[in-house]
Amino acid sequence: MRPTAPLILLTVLQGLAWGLIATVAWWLPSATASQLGFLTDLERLGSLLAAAGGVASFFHMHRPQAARYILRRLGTSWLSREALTTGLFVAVLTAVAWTVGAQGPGSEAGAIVSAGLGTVAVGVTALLYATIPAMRSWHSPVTVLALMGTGLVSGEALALGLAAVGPGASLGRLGAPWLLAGILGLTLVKGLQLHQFQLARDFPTGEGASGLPRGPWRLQDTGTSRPPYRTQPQVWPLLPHGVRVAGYTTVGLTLLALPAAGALAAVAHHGALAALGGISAAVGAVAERWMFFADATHSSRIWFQDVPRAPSRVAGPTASPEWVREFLAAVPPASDRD
Amino acid sequence: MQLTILTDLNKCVGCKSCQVSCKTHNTAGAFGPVPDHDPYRDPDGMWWNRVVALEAGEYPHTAVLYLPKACMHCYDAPCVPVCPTGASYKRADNGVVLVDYETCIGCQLCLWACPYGVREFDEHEGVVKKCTLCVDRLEDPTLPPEDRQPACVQSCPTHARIFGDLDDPESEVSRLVAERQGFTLLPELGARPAVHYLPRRPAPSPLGGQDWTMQEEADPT
Repeated sequence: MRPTAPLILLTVLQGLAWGLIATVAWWLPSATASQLGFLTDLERLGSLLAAAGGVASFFHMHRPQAARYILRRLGTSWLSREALTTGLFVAVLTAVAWTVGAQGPGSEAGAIVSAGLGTVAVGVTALLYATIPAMRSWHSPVTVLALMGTGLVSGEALALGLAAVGPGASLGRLGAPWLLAGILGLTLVKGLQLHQFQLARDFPTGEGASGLPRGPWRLQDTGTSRPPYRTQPQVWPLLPHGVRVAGYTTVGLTLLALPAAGALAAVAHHGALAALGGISAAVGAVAERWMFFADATHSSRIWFQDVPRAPSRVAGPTASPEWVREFLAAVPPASDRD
Repeated sequence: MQLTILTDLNKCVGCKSCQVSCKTHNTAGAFGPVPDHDPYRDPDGMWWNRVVALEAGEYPHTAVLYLPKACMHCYDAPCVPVCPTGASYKRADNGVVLVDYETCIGCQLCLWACPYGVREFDEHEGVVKKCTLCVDRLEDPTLPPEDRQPACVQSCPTHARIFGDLDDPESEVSRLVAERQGFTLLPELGARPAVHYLPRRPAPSPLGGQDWTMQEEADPT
């Protein structure tokens, strides 16, 4: 489907904020008094990222004047639930970060509650994508694992990178083994997701889409001069193989390899390299989300795929057989026969 | 009651008159204009009904199938429960799936949820639009009874499209679906579409077999 900036920003920033606040909630009991200010700053960064994601989501609504109806279908719509849970997450995280912080009374409880709400918000967002049967690439529990894993790993890597160049270097060394374990788990999940995307590309069948009992079949005409990519964003041209390879290589490098190197650098007291790993994870989350949308296959692609233009095999410019050319050469022109 | 359209794929010749008449009626009619905001520079405007052409088989044992495809007005329409505002809804009295433009926020989640790619996003008005089964014609008391049917059904020159109530076992559409193995598209996705198609019948082939479906038996070598 067509990747759109508001959705990429919403999901990436929401995941980053959740990863940050979950890391803060985990680090708080081990933090020294001099590190509490840094953890407060991390909470505030998380709240700003989450709020920015919420603002970005408004740009995805093309008629925000109707947004007041968005909670009408809480019983059936994951988007209604996403609006509610993400709104609660942003509100509570912002309140905790800018009032209590990591130093005030009840700071640990505030961080844990915020992290819990973040878990629910990111989980609901992931379920929104995973529960659409027509989106063949996403209709799988792997989608939930991938979105939650990306959020947690990118947020923790960013926290660890910032800690390594700040007063929280000891906290960074505490988190590094867990970040490495998280990256290993996310690598496995992304591998499963690549397989799921491949299965989705192979899904459409001529039989189910046309009632034709036997193939092979091919699309001749989508009904209009070209597929409706402008009015139907759920379909998008298939990514060329080179773009797909480059995209997933970028994701592997920025979301998995460099953050893993950063975690090792944090243990080895290389603050700058650890910070680079954290920033790389945030960039990698954007690249991962772009590929998540751009490489996704919708069931309607079967009727809208780009058809390669090929010359007719019946009326092609093939040369006449030799005997035909000899016969035509032997026959005198009509004017001579008269 | 579940109003529906049945298309006989043996009769459809791919003339696209249903596609054009849909566009004409819904652009000029009182309900749901189908816009072409830039028709000369970008001719791919909005279409609620598209006739897809498919070629099946291996040359020379091939057949071309024309498949008119609009909203399926599914019994379990997946576009309805995902809508956060309730703008997408299914009418209880006749089963037609409609969009309330006033409450649509343009999030396009229903486009993802629809397995058939028959909803269209109007980026200028910021809402999603789709086939209404010409509900404005069906309920227009000023029209004579024989004209109270969708524009695509009325304009079909081969009478390939039949309009009726699928829940009425005595209706023509129900009888034809039962007698001639009427089928729906992508049944494995569980939407239970109301729109049905009558399958192609085998036809004699000058190359020896019955048709492309019998290509193993019809190998000319």
